[in-house]
Amino acid sequence: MTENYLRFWGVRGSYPAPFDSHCKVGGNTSCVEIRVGDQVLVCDAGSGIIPLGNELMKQDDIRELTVILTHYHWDHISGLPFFVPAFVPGWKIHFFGPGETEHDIAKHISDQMKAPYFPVETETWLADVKYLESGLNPLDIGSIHIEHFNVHHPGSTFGYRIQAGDTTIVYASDNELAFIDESIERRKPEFDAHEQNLLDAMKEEERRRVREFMQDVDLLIHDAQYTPEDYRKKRGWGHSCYIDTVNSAIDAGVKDLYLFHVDPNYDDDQIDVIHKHSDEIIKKANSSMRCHVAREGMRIDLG
Amino acid sequence: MPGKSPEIVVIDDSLTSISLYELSIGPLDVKLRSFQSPTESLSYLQDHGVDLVFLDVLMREKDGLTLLKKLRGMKRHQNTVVVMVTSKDYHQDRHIARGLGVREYLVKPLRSQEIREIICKYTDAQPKPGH
Repeated sequence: MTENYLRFWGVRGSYPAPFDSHCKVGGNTSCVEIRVGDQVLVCDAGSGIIPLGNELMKQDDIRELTVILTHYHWDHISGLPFFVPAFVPGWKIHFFGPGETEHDIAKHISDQMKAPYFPVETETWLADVKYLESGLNPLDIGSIHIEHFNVHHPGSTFGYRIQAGDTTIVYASDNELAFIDESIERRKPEFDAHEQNLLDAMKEEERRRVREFMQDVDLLIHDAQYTPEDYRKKRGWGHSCYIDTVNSAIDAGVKDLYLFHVDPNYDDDQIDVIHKHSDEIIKKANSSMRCHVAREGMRIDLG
Repeated sequence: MPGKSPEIVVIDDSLTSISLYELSIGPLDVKLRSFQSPTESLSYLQDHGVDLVFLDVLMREKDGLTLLKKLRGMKRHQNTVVVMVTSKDYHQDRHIARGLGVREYLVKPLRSQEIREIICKYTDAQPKPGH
C-alpha cells in the first residue's frame, strides 16, 4: 500500500531546544519529509533528520531519497553527520541546494564533517551519494515536481514550491518578509515627491513578489520566528515576524499555513499565544485560511 | 574632442528600481543599459566591456552574488567596477560581495542624487549640455 503524506521531523529555528517546556512543539531543527508513494523527499537536514534516518532504517522497502536544502546554516545541515542511511551501503541519497556547481553543494555539506569539528568525513558515507546539478529548475523526483526560488535571508537561500500529487506545498523555512518596507519608511522623508511614488511602487512590487511564490498554495510552511517585540531587536537577522507571515499568506490565498522555524527561546505557552493571535488576525481579515503551528511528529495526509 | 559616454549596466529584476536609475541619470551624459534578466545580462556582458555595473542580489532567476562570481570568471570583467544595490542588508552577503571585489554594497532605497554620485565617483560621466 502506498502512502502520501508530509511529516514534520524538526520545526525549530536556529538551534535545537530539547527542553520540557518546548516538547509540545518540539526541539529539533528544520526537517520535513514528503512521501509520495515510494518517493521520499526531505526538506532540510537539521537535527530532525536524525530521527527520520532512524525510522527509515526500520524498513526495507525504500532505499532511496532526495534531500533538498534551503541553505547551509547549521540548523539546516547539522543532522547529516548522524543520518544513519548515509553510512549504510545500498542506500542512494541525492542532495540539492544553492551553489554554482555540484561540487559547491558537496563542499558546503562536507565542510562541517572535518577535523577538528567532527571525527569522520563524508568519505565514510557508504551510501551512493549524488549531488544534483545545481542549476536544475524545475527538478523532478519521480512524480514530485520541485521549483526553487531565492528568498530574503543571508547568503544564497532557496525556498521551494513542490507539487506532490494534487497538493501544492511551499517550503520557505528562512525568509525575512517586509524588510524593504521598513527600509523605505525610514528614509521616505528624504525623497522628493516623484521618488516617493517610485518607493510606493517598489513596496507594491515586493508584495507582488511574495504573493507570487505563495499564490494559492495548499500548504505553506513558512518562517514565523519572531514576535513583533523580538523582530524589532532582530530585524536584519533573516527571519520573519509571524504577523507578516500570516498577513502575507492571507494576501496570497493560502489554504493552510504552518508557522515554522519558531524561535528556540519560545516555550509551548508562548507559541500558543502566537497561534491564538494568528487566528485572530485571520478572523479579522475574514479569511478562510487555516493556521497551524508546525509540531514535531505532526503528519498531514496528502491524499 | 569629447570622450565616449560611459556605459552603465543595471541588473535588477525590479522594474521600479530600473525606473529610478533611468530617472537618476537624466542630467548625466551616460549610456544606461538595464536588464531584468540576469541570464540576458551575462550574455551581453560576455561580449562587452562596461564602465560600471549596478547589481541587485535578490532576483527570481539568479541571485546577484552567483551572477557576480560568473562575471568575475570572465577575463574582461575581472576588474569591472561593480556596486551592489539591494534590499538585503546582511553581513554574509556583504562579506561574499567584498570577496568578489565589489566597490560598494548599498541598501535600497537610494535617492537619485546618491545614484548620480556613485556614477560620477566611478566613471568620467559629464553633465549633459544644458544641465
